[in-house]
Amino acid sequence: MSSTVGIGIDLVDVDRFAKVLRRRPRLTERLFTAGERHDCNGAPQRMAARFAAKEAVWKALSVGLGGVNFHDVAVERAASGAPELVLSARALTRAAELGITNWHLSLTHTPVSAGAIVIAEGE
Amino acid sequence: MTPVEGIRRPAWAEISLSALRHNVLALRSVLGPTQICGVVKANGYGHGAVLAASTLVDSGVAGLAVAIVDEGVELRDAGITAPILLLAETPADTVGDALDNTLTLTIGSLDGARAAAAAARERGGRHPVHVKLDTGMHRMGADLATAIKILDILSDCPTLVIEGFYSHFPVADSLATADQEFSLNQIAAFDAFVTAAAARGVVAPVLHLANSAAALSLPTSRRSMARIGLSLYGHLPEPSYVTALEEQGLSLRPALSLHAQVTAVRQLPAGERASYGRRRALPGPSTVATVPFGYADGYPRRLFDAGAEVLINGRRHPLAGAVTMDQLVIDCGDASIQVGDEVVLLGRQGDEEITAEMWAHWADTITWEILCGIGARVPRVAVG
Repeated sequence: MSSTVGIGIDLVDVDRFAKVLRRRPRLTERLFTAGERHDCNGAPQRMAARFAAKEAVWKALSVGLGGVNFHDVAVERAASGAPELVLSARALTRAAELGITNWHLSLTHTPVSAGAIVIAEGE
Repeated sequence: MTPVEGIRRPAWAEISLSALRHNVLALRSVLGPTQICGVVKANGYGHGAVLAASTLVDSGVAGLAVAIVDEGVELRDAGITAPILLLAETPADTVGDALDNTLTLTIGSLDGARAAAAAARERGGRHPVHVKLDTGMHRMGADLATAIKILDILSDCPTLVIEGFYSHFPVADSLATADQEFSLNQIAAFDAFVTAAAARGVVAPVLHLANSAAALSLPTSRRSMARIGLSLYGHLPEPSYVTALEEQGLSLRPALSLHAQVTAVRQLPAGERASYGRRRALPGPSTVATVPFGYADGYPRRLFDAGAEVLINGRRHPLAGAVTMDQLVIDCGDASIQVGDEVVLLGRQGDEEITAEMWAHWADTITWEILCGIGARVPRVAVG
């Protein structure tokens, strides 16, 4: 019997996010793993949606954003093509502390906004 | 011809005072009760020390910090009366000059403590000092045992006041878990020293550990004061901090932009090669513009190979050839360019923007080095 341990939601303005990335050339590498950068292929909406997913997870983990390593929360594609969350390092430790055993992720975007919702389940 | 009076070469840095003020307010809202010590060493991170210092003080920073006595004297000579902390221990033969200019000494060695006590006794009055603990940076400052001995020397001198204790972080801007643990251990070592000092009856009212990076990423590093440099000028030590600030509805504004005017224009056929080394052939017939700003002004030579661009009339244009000491040559393609057209090397023009972070990326260095590297002969012009 699983129960919901946490939820997180985040919404990102695509244009604004793209501009923030352009101004700081190293930011894309800081925020996204090599796999994510490959999956996004430079598309701002996809990057914004993945960023929203990361922020939603940190929210679900009740971790403030200052100094977090965004690579600790990665969005990967399952064989079905559906996006799924892969946690590592500090995010994984924090999730274990909270007893989280399973994540659900849903992404959405329009040309203007990108959003993500995550649900964390425990036993 | 130049838009700024008294400048004989059309190349200048604009320092936005409103951006500096905005950044002070934004950082104060992040830091809450922790006061800001505005770091203005290296000519105010290239922004002009007096310009930056006076604006920061007017905007509410509690004090200033510089690296060397000469920098402190420059600010005093300009009439700045805010507290100024010397961030490195001052050579013994200049301790007197520091005290005569009411600069606050950093003490990080027994010899330094003795020199401060001797100079303070000679002068009388009351002279504040800060004791620096080495918790892992291993550049300046005393280990715990030495720091306790320093307190004994300073306490024995009635003309010295132990005002502050501080330390410094080498990896506060790192996102790696091991580095973050290192910083947390430094905080613990600092707290152990503060406790040991209190047990001997020495309580310093001002405690400061955090630099920009720690202030933004390690809330437990914030004590009564934080030493803020880079962020006050509108730049982040780690680019991902932008996300944490945005989450709080905050952003920083770069205060410095670099401007010039085109001084010569020539039409060249495809295949021509401009500048030293004849490094690059023009891919097509092009208008090549000369801009009076070179590596002596702080434009890194590496930017040519890295594919850097400048803004002219709202469009991005690449360099046509190698950066020279005093001038750049720009490949403007089919754009119509006139002598006198304004060039933005760093900053916004129309919808386009070139940031110091881009320069640092192109030059494979850090934003700090870009800003500090802007040449002494580039006039700094205050704008609103």
